[in-house]
Amino acid sequence: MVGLSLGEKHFIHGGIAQDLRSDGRKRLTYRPIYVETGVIPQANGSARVRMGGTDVIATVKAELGRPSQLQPDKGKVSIHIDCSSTAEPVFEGRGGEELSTELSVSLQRSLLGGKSGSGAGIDLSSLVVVEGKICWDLYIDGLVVCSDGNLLDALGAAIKAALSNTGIPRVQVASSASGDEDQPEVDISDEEFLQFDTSGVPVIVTLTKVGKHYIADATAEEESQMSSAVSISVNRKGHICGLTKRGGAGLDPSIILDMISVAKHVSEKLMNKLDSEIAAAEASEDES
Amino acid sequence: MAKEQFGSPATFIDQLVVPGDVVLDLSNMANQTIKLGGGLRQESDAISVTKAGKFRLSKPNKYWVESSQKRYVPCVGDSILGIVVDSKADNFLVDIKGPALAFLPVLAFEGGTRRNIPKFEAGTLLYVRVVKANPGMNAELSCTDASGKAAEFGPLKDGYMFECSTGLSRTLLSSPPCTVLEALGKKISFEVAVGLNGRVWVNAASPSTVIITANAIMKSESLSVESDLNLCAWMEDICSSCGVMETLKLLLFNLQFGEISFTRILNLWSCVRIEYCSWFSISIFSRTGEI
Amino acid sequence: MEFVSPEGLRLDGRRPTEMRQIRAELGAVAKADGSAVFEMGNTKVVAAVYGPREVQNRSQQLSDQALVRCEYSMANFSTGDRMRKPKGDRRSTEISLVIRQTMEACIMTHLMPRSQIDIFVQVLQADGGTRSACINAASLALADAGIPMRDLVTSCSSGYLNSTPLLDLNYVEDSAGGPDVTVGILPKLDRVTLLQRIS
Repeated sequence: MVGLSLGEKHFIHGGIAQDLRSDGRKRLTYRPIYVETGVIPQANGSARVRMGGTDVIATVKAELGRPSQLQPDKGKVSIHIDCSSTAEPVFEGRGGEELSTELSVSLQRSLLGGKSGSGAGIDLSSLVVVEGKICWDLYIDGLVVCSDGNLLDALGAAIKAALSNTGIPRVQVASSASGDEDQPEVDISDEEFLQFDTSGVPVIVTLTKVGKHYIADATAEEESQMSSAVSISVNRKGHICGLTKRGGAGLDPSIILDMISVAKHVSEKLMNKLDSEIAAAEASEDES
Repeated sequence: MAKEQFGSPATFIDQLVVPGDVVLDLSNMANQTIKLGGGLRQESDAISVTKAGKFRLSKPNKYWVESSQKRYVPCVGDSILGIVVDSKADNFLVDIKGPALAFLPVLAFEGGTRRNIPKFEAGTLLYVRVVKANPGMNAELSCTDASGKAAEFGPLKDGYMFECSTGLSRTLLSSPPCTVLEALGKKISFEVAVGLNGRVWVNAASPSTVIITANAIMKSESLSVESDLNLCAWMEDICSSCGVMETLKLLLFNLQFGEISFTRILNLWSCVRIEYCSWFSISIFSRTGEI
Repeated sequence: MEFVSPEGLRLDGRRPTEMRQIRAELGAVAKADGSAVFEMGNTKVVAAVYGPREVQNRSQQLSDQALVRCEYSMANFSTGDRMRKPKGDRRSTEISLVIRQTMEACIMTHLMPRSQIDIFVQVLQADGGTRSACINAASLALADAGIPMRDLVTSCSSGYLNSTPLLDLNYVEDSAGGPDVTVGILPKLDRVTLLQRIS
């Protein structure tokens, strides 16, 4: 793909300096967000999020497994992102692996908290079935179908929507299981489902620095002009769950603090918008 | 499998066709000369379609398929917008959204000699004309018209370039002038260069005007004629007002007198979104409910 | 296991020669030159086409026709059990080859020498008949991209269970162990471009 012409680069920089972006948005405005839930019926929960040209799908699959030795009272969650070659021809074969790994790690850091499981956006203790023996393993898979910038925000939104769409089957533990048995018998119900609680799941806001200003929700052409980007995940209470900086240029610490406060402000609007879209999507899914 | 009737050409004219459709049966049309344009190929006695689009006839005997794509197939005589990728000793390598890069000879400028070769950096936007376009060979371009004059060809400075489909560029260049450009031109003064390869360049006095014009042209692809005019009228409102709040106040004011149409409100509504003004939204919502 | 009831109904209520519901959408991937989403029942596939454009690898350039490349990959969540390797395994490589050969037969490659056409197919949900859905989606994506074609390729699979020929197998019927055949044809020209039997 050919890069931008010089005039375009000047235009993008100049426009952002004047608070006017190429599609008419202000610096901190998001593109219209469309959320569809239940797109993959085979999974326990799924969602598709479109932010302008960026199109991502996230699914949640739950399987029974053993909790880790260090945290016997918590379930396990793993996040894996795949960049489909439909998004960019360069993602063919192993070309998309680097970006996929980068996105997976950033999302894990933002949503799952530290090694001890503290500060996680998802309440892991609700996933345990029999303490020390059986717990739910949640596999969250994301797929980037079309990329037009701001993949991290879109994936974060899709995971939040997929988690709110997730139904974990009710498990009856066979009462004849003795305390020493390795794997007690379980009966997985096909009918009853427990809806996941996603009020604690944070949203990710990526602020991209172009020139002297930062913009939210950059398109691919704006991202090509960025000097650095900071992705901040903020939850409903306004607490910061994760922070990642990308890009080669160094940033003054005061600028980072400034970006954090801007991100908190932007995230509130984004969270409200997302919640209303997810509710609308669930409602229309119930109707259909 | 029953074969479809491919009778007289009249059945397919101005219809949407897909690859494989047989549109003409030559055995029924003896002693006629017909000219075939793009998107059609001949297989013994049948003319079949190779590209999806609308099948058109230009009397008396020219047939072609009108289709719209994102990529461009170079054709001699087209005026296009290219981006310089590299420069070699004899040629500039220019990307034209086609199957291969195109060559622009360093001497193909008005009064071009070895002494005054222009220096184009990678990324320069050029308005050029296609001189040679043979399949399998890189196309050749020129910055002069057929008689050797510069005309309007050459590098384009400032402004903003965006990509669109080849169908939209053809609509923009059609005569009589297309509705969007005419309506915009009545209220805004701007410069536009349309490349048949799906690239359009817009320039105007202020960046906001450039953005409005560019977005109006981009969105006009999916609109019909009536909606074109609505959209342009709405865009004028925005650019003449000082900001969103003021425009909304204007709208509310006009609403009381019942002058604004429902579609216009929906247009503005969808673009402003609730974030900007919570109490404004409640008042607009209640009023639209009344209409 | 009974796949066809005595009344002649299959497991999902279809008749033996009835296909699943089909849905298609063009232009789903905004960035691609042509794209399509194709659904056959629960099988959902997205195809994107990039091209014709410059050949990326000079050594592969063909002087008299366009180079057609294809990649088939399945999403992690597409099957009932999570897959570990979405692409690069033998089945994906084989299906990529099959799709490429089928599409090459219908694209008029001699009109675009020295260029490259990339077809990427991504399976979002697999419920039997993925090969056919991929070929149908790739056909639509190529038409959306305006690449000259002789005809659209349409494809479907069928099998033989309980002494009845069945059309358009889903996953349960596919894994029952009976023979199945995938056919791809050029409808207007009435030619078969793909015939594969898996037993």
